[in-house]
Amino acid sequence: MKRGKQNQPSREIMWSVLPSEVEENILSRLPVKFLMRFRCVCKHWCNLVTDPHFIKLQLNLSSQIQESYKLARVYCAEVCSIDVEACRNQYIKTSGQKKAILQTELVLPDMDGNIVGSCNGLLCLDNRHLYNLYLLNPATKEYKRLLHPREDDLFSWYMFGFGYNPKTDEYKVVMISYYRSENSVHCRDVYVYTIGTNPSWRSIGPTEYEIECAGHALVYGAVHWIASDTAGFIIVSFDFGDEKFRELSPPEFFRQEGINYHTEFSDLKLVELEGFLSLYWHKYKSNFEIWVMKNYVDEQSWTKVFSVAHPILSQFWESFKPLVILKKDEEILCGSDFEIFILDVVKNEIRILHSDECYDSGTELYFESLVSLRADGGTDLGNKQERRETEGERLALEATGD
Amino acid sequence: MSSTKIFLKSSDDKTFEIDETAARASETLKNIIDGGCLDGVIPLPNVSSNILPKVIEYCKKHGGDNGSSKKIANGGVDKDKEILPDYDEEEDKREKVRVDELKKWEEEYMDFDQQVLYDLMLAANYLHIKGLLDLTVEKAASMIRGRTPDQIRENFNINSDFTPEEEEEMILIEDEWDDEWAFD
Repeated sequence: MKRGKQNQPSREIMWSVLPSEVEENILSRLPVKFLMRFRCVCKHWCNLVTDPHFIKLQLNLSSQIQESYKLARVYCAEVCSIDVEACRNQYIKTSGQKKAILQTELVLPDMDGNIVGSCNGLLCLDNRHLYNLYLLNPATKEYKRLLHPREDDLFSWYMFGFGYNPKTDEYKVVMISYYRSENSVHCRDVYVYTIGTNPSWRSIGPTEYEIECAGHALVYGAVHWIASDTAGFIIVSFDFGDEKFRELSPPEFFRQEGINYHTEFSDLKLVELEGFLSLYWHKYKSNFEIWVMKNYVDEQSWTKVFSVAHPILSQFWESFKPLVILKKDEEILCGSDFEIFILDVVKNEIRILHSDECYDSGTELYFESLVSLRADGGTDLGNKQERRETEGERLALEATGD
Repeated sequence: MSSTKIFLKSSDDKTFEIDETAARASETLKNIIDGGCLDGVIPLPNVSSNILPKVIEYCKKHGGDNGSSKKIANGGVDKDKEILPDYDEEEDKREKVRVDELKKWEEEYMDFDQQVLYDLMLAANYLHIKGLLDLTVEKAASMIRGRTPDQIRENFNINSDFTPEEEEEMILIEDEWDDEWAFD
């Protein structure tokens, strides 16, 4: 489209007489950042960004457009992002290694932990060392701190999952509380927090599954994890609708080969790739493969979609997670604890797009939305004044905020 | 393919001819045709004779399907399926050629001024032609992107209707999100 032409002022379009569905259709195609800024155009535009119908319209569109996908990383208390498209383009135009620039979306009062998950433009962070969670929307810069039930001993730990129940239009956090005694792991209880309705953690009773820190995949309204069992490992899902745990079998291959989460010199992770429940397996100095469940819940439909028989980068031992397949059987965008990189398995090389000096919270794929946490009754920290506070005020807030 | 002719009458009483297959690109016309109320001419009191030929041109191009190149690019070549082994690469290439051709056509088709864009958007909305609505609405959105709120108000004749107190708050909002702006 010709820019010159558009920049000339014209009085031909009378916005006020556009049917509202057309007006909303136009605005829903703008990036969230623009919509936030254009609140000052008129009252109607200001109200639109908090209108549930418009939020859904924008969400539907944004989730379908590849260009709206981003990667989130958190450094200390800084929530940063980078466009997936930018990673892709950078790769195409540069043969050497070039740093991709991450943008700061917002700065939290504190953060020391990892990203639990992303859903419809919202992120959930586990501020592990301070025993709370953050729920946030990086695009609108809204965030909330959520305290969770905890035990005062050194033998307890917690696993979290974040997701959405479309039937009731509710976002939920699930928390599994574990403890170790006499060298075995026990589940104390499982709690569910529903954003909006009732700001409290609801106990739903313990689970028998022992979830491993081996990635997560939010597909078909349920979060999925890897859990150890006597035969090796299984996949456990937690459905955000009926709040039930279910079991799924991994590909037969893993059982035959006797592979489990604890297999040495290897990396086994559950991830979501292009909407599929996916399993990734990397045996150091040997092979690398990705499996997807083609038809969800049909255990016969596990299919190997990415497979490299030769050892990838023998010097590369770091655990990482595939995020986006850029080119089938050739290139994958990956995130590790220290880097965002493209793995080219044909040339057998890694192209680092971004690297950090300090350990960060992991990388999570998300897209921009207007979905709000406003309806939630929990502690609200996400307003401008608090965000602009100085370090000193930040500490003061922490003391009174919780 | 059937070439039954349909006649459309514009708001200023001019009659235009269109093939039934082309007319089916419009959900509204499709319902009228299927409803069996095809009694000679279909009156379109919301579409003028300036814009109707442009609408017909789009329908002719899109006969059976209902999408724009944008939609095909994202949905037709199903990104989700691309990672599966039985994904047909040849089919994908053919599809890409088709999309490229369609994009070129759309670029030429969409070369008009704001007044036409506005009328075409309304006609597409009224006649429920999804592909045309996507195209025109996307173009209108591209005219808003990257502008300042002042430019938008001026360009689209929008009045700021905030009270003085609200206005002050809005200035803060604008300042805050201005910083964001600098990155683009």
